[in-house]
Amino acid sequence: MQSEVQANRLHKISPLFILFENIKKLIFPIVLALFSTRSSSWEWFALGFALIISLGAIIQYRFYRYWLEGDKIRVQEGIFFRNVRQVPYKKIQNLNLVQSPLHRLFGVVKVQLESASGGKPEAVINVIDMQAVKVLKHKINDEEEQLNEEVAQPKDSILSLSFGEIVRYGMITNRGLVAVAIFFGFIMQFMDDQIERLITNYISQFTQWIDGLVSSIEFENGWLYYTLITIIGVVSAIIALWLLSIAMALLKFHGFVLVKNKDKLQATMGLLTRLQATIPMTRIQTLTIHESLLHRWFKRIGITIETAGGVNNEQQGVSMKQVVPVAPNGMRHELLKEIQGDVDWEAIEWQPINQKGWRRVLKVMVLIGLVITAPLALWNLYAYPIGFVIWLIYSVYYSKAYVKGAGYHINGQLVAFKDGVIFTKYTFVRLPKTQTITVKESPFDRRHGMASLVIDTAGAMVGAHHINIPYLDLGVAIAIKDRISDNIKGTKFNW
Amino acid sequence: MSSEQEQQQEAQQTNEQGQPEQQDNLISRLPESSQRLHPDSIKVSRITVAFVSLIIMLVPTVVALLSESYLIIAIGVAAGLIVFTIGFIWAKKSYDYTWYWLADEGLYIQSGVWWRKKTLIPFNRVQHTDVAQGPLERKYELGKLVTHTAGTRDASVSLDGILLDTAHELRSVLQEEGESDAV
Repeated sequence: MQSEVQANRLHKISPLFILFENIKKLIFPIVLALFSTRSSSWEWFALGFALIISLGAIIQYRFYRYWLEGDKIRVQEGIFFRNVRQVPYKKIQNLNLVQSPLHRLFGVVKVQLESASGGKPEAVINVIDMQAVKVLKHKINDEEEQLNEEVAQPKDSILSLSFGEIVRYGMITNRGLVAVAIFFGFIMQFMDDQIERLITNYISQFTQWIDGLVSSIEFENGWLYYTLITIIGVVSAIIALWLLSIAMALLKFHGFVLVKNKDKLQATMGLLTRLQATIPMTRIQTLTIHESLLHRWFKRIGITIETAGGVNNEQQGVSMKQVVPVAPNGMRHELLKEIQGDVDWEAIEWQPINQKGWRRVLKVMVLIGLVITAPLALWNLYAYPIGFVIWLIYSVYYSKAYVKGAGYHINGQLVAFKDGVIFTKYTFVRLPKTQTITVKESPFDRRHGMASLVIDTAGAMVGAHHINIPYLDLGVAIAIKDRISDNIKGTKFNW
Repeated sequence: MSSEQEQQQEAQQTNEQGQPEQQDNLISRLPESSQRLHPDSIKVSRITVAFVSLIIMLVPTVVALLSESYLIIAIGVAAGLIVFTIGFIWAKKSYDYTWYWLADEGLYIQSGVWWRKKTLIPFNRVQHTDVAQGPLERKYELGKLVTHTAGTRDASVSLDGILLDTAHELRSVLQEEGESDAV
């Protein structure tokens, strides 16, 4: 256990932050416990809880130690079950820093070290001061790197987001929608008559206010009146949603700066809580360009990456998936070149998939349409066929647009796939990063002599866009598979 | 071996509701070196299905005896029989459509009755391999080869229902090739 290297301990203020983290973890069970047990002794329970977790925080702090050895960091924690973990510097993929306003007050920072093992951070150092961070960074990054590295100047950054860009990001991504959904989902749990009455009361007050507004312009109670009310309602809802989304975007991305430091990307962001994340560029497994309808309206794109392992779940740590939250479409090649310079991005020519596939897309769309427009029949018998016909027209447009828009590209360096009508996405995987290659053939594929090709990579998030090329002729699918497998023959996978 | 293989393949193609032989699909493109699972694996999966359907029948029976409702027994037995019948047929079907073979580039596994897929695990992408054996498989000297890659959806690809010795052989091939490739 003894080593010549001096043991490092956490900053003296650490118990406070560990306490906060523990409270954050336990807040839901505690709140639920308080709501369910209406007995008079709940104060004692709460007090007991608080006592235990604060004691736990102090103990965690007292027993946490780390050593910066020659080629690895050793972290030791635990009282009865002592846990010693060694992470070689070379295996550390990301070094992330988190600094909330409270952290800044004490001049400390929380550090997360991520390796390729995936799941949760390999080591969390909660919290140390800036000097210790500097030493740690120096050790992890190459030795030759000098300690005097300054905070990166915006001028040599790849990308920095202005206020306007962040506003656009908020409007394009509409994260507020998710927040509202989660909020309502949460509220529903605690919904009882009283709260429900309160909410309906607010809604009716709001509609009355709009009602007053509209009727003050002297309208008859006709269809014009109702359409106007609907339009006002929808527009105000969209504006409210946008404002919420912009506020959330500002919280997350205020002062976003992406810097390239040798072979690492470093992003700094956040309004209240500042985050700093680094990613070695060679560890990028897949790169995806997002270009939704709204992106196109604003002439913008977004770029996300997946790294091997790392932290896939945003709740478990700082994840730096969004290397480019939003950027002008014109900067596309320039940015891609900065992130992966060894790829000839301008030479990419998209190959089409089998255009006959549109009938198959249409069939699926018709089936979906039959089901999702069915509830209309409950409202009005005629609404169902009308709704279905509207859906059908959209489906024909969608199916044709889908097969026209989808495509793939393969060269000696990478394999790429794009698809999507409203949310168009382009995913690129460099060939050395491919794992298994699968040719899939559904019964429907078989009838048309088609197949799809799927490539698995490390760190692929469930549901994320990946290389999954549908509606290929079987021969083409197998040819692509052969080309990739020929190419990776004899190349070792390097995380 | 190869002539036997061809016969099997032909049988395969006529099996498919008399579809023309020249039809181009994944099965028709199987190479000559492709191997089937061990026939005993059908027995193993049928016995497993039998156990499962027995449990499906037993649980409602116990519940029914306690609550004295005999309708539940009927439902339970019917469900158990359906599961057993489907499982019994499916065991043979899935055996018919599962193949594996080694090529220069890696291990191929072809599987799936309706939704078919051919997966290539390149030699140099194999992280490590496991050979596993359950109690029932031990009786028939069968085993399972699990190949782990650094991927996510295919983080572990298993080939279930081959002889334990075959599994060990495949494992050593995968390891050797992986090492010789990783210059």
